[in-house]
Parts: sequence; C-alpha cells; structure tokens
Amino acid sequence: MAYPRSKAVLVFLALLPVYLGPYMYAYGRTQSNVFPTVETLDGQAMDDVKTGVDNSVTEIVAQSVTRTVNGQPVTWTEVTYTLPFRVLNRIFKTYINFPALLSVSKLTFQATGVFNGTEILSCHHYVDSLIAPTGFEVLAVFGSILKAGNNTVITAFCHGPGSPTFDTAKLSQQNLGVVTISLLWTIDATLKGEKVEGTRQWTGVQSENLLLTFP
Amino acid sequence: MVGGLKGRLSPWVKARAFTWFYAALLFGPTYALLSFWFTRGSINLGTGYLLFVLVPMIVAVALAGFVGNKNRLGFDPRLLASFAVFALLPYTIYDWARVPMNYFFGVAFWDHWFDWGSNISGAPLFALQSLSVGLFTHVSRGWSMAVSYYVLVRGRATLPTAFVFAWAMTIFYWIFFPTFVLVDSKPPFIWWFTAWSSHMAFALGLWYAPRLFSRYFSMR
Repeated sequence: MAYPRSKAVLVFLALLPVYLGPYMYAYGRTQSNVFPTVETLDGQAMDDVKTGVDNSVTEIVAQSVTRTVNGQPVTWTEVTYTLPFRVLNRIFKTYINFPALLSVSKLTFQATGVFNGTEILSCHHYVDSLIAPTGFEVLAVFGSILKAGNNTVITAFCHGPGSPTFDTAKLSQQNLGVVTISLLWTIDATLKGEKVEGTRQWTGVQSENLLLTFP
Repeated sequence: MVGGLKGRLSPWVKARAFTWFYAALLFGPTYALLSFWFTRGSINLGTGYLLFVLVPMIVAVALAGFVGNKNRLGFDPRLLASFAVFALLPYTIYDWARVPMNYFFGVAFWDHWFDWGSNISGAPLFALQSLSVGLFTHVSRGWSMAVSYYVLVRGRATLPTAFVFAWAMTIFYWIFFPTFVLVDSKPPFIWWFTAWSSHMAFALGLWYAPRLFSRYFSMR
C-alpha cells in the first residue's frame, strides 16, 4: 500500500524529536552539568597547585671580570648560584574521573637575596612549559608522564656581585661556608585545566642558607 | 579438493563482491576514525574525513549511477536513497539507549565528541563548537554503518542479521576504544555494558526502520 508523500513528510517531522532527543540531552547536560563540573574541577586543580623554593642557595662559581673604566682596568668578581624551586601537585581528576596533568606554561621565577640589607643575588628563570602528555599515549606511558610531571623541581641560576662588593671567600671563612640571608621570591605561571585557563602568582619571603665555597 | 572449494566459492563471492565493495565504500567515517587512531593523531580527523570519507563517497555516488544490471545486484540509486533515510533511525536509538546510562550511572556518552570536534575544528576542547563537530562525526559514523548494513542485506533487514552486525560493532568497539582511546584504557563494567546494550538497541533500530519507512518508499 502506497502512502501519500505528504504523510511521509508528516511522519518524518513527527520523528524529529526522536532524532534530536539524545543530542538535545547531550547539549543540555553539557551546559548544565559538564561545563560547570569541568570549571569547578579546573579551579580546584589550580588552587591545589603548590610552589616552593629550596632553603639553600649554593655558590657554584665565582668569575673574575675585568673591564676598562675611564681608561683604567677595573677588576671584580661575579658569583653564580643555583637555587632549586618546585611546582607541585599538578595531577587532578577530570569530570570523567580520569587523572590529568594541569598544564603549566610561561613559568617565571624571580628572587632576590638580601644579606645585611644589601642585595647580594638575584634570580630570573623562565620555562616555556612543563612536561605534558599529548593524550595519544598508551596508558603506561601516560601514567609515567603524569608521575614525572606531578612534582617538578627546576634549578634556577642566580647571579650576584663577588669581591670587593661581597667577598664570599672571606664570609665563607668566617661562617664555615654557610651564611643566612633573606630571600624574596615570586613565581608566575599560566595554568590550564581542561577548560579554564588563568595566571597564578605565588610569593614568599624566607630565610635561606647561602652555601658558599668552603675550602 | 581446494580447487573444488575455490570453484564453488568463486561464483558465490563474485555474486556478492560488488555489494561488499559498495558497503565498504560507505563505511568511510569509520576508516577516518581508524586512521586518526592508528597514527595516534598524526592524521588529523578532518584530514581523515577528506581522505577516507569524501573519496569513497564520490566513488560510491559515481558507481550508483554507472553500475549495470541493477536488479541483479539488488539495489539501485532509488533504493539507496531509502537506505539513507532508514539509516537515520538506528544510530538515534543507539544514542537513546545511552541516555539513561548517563542519567543513572554518569556515563557521559558524548565525551569523545569533544576530542574529535576539537581535533577537527581546532576549537578549545570544552566548547560547543567542538561538541557540535564531534557530534557530526559520531552521527556520520552511525549513519554510514547503518547504510552499509542495508546495502549488505539489500534492504531486507532481519533480526538475526541485525544482531550479528551489532555484535560485530560491539566487539569492534570493545577492542578499539580501550586500545586507542586513553580515557577508555581501563573502563569499568558499566562502560562495557553500555557499549553492548546500545549496540543491541542499534540492531533493533536496523530491523525496525525499514518496517517503519518502507510503506512510504517504493522499494521496487
């Protein structure tokens, strides 16, 4: 039995809610549940990220520099130090309860070391982005990247004047190689979860052991 | 012995070779996804669609017009058009079956749509643009699978063939998603169950759609 075409169109139209139903549901749940959940989890993940700076600055080299000033050779030393800092707790759970690594990029570390009211070192270190999985790894590789990226320790290089402005050799002799200084530091980074992206800044002031070369 | 078997198989295969080839051409959206998975994303899904959907579809459209002796082959372009309409229903029923799984158990059946859509469009992962493009790829895959089935059975859908087809899809799904989709690497039981039950619903849709629509199409 052949039905008129107009009836076919009517049937097709009547079926539209059937056709579209699951997708309207998916869009509705995305707006009402998925996006808010993702945003909340991203925000929590960003808040959970911790940073810190090691409590020891280590002198690694003191280089003698000679320059000509007003026709006269002037010699002084420049000291290079290392200072580890860390970004911790990047693993978070996504809305499907799967672990992921919070993206950290444009990571900038700056610090200033002060001894007896004099700035003796300053640090500036930039990292474009921390390790992150692509999402196409097999589970074992993905897991190892997550584990490796959860807590990252980065060694920053700091520079400061040596003798005669700041005689590290003399201070080392007097203090058995360890001098306490005050360190002011700032870490800036762009964090990105699955949906939310934002910048965070962490700052701190702490007593620091300046480990000088001690014969 | 072998020659005899070959001799018997040969006409049987020859009689069906064109139909199988035609059904395989219409399966393109799945090839696109496989190319994306097998290359671990090196082939963008959009590129996969151009290579493995557009090209086979052009061949299929051309073949539909050029093929001779359409009655012997069991379908013609008008019949193909009816398959295209039938195929709108099964994947919809498939997705309807997944709705309660999300509502009661939290299985977000559209989570991969974001990945696929973002990969093609370049839009952020959790954006409606990504969801929409990903939905298109999902729908195109479901639709093409159903069309391929109707071509294979020449429009004569039965429950046994529909369930065989759906079981094959289920096994395909059970193997490939945990292998190539990271977040499905270690799925819970409800994931396996949802994959199975929704494909069984797909089978019912395959079987029911021709019964619903055939009265509105002149099948011969």
